[in-house]
Amino acid sequence: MTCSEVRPFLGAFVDNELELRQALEIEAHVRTCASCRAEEAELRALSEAARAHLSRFLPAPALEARVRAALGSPPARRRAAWAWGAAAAAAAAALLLFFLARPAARSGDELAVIDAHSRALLAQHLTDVESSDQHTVKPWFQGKLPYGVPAASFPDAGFPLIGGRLDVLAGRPVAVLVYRRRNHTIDAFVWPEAEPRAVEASRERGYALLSWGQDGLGWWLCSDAAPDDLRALQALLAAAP
Amino acid sequence: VADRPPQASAAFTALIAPHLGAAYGLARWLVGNDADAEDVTQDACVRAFRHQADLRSAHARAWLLTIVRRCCYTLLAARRGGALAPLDEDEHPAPSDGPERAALRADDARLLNAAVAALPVEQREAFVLRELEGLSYKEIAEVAGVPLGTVMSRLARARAQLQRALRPAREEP
Repeated sequence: MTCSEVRPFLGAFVDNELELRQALEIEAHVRTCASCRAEEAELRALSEAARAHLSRFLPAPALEARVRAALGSPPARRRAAWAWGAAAAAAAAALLLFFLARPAARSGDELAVIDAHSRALLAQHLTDVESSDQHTVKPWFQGKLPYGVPAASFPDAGFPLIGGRLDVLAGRPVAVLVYRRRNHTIDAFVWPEAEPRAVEASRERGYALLSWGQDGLGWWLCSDAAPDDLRALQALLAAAP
Repeated sequence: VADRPPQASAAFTALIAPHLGAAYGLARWLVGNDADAEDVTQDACVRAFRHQADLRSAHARAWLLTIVRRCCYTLLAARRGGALAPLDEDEHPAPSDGPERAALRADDARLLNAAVAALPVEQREAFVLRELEGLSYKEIAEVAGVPLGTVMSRLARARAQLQRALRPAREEP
């Protein structure tokens, strides 16, 4: 195969979307052609960067209530129902909460953490300090918060630290460490908490949450990643020096 | 309370709620702002709900995304006052790639997002569905209603365009 025959298929090759025979032919060419090899590497880097940095817009929590309300109304009245706007949505949201409320009381922290996480995603403001280097992130928090913030990164385990930001939860400033897990962002909220707490996992509004307390710090992980991913990150954080 | 049919809630929970994030994410990338994306998502969910008989639940996500996409295109056409979408079938020259070519600035999140937002809408949807939603070419073809080969060429053109946009301009001597 020549370069001009290979180029149109390199993207599909990188995406593993070619039939085996075609993939083998391209692989053979790429092995001997430095220029196509460079192009392949660049396509892979582009794909990786897109997965890491492309904005993942999340719906505002109210949208779900809005849609539910719209589904409940007869189609013909849909526009009219719209004029009711906020009142209908609020009523539906209240109804939702009523039906979905689980026996276990949700702590104020849990809701505040979800709000802060979705706010950051919506505003596309995940990090105040963007760095995978703990020696950059850790000192950045110093002087801004009255407590020390550990900032370990776990790139080898698939949980690279991508930065940190300050947030305000229930009136107090808190540190948020931001980790990347494949396409997902995991926020790790951390603040002083004297009493150690056992690990507790929950799901709320489509987000997975995990919280625990150790060494004088309380942790909350919040993400749309899989709950297992949060457990894996928890284990890493708990064992970090 | 009573005028909300219970089956609406059940269908929503089973078919739509799990994919609301994907639906909104695609709409937001296609229409470009929160308010329109919310309206389009709602509209699509209502349509999806009315036509749920067409659905094989194994494909709920692709099915909902197909409807979201159609609603987005309707809105985009209305914005242009009914004018046809510009064709994105123009050929671009292959990027020059001598050994001296500069590395991509793909890790600049703002630059990358701006470059993707600037793609023609068909390329943008293919790229976003591939990289954010992890859809296969076959699924993208289903959502966009085009042959597999078209998906491949749209993605290739999207990437070529992004490579050009992300490569630092070479300083002229």
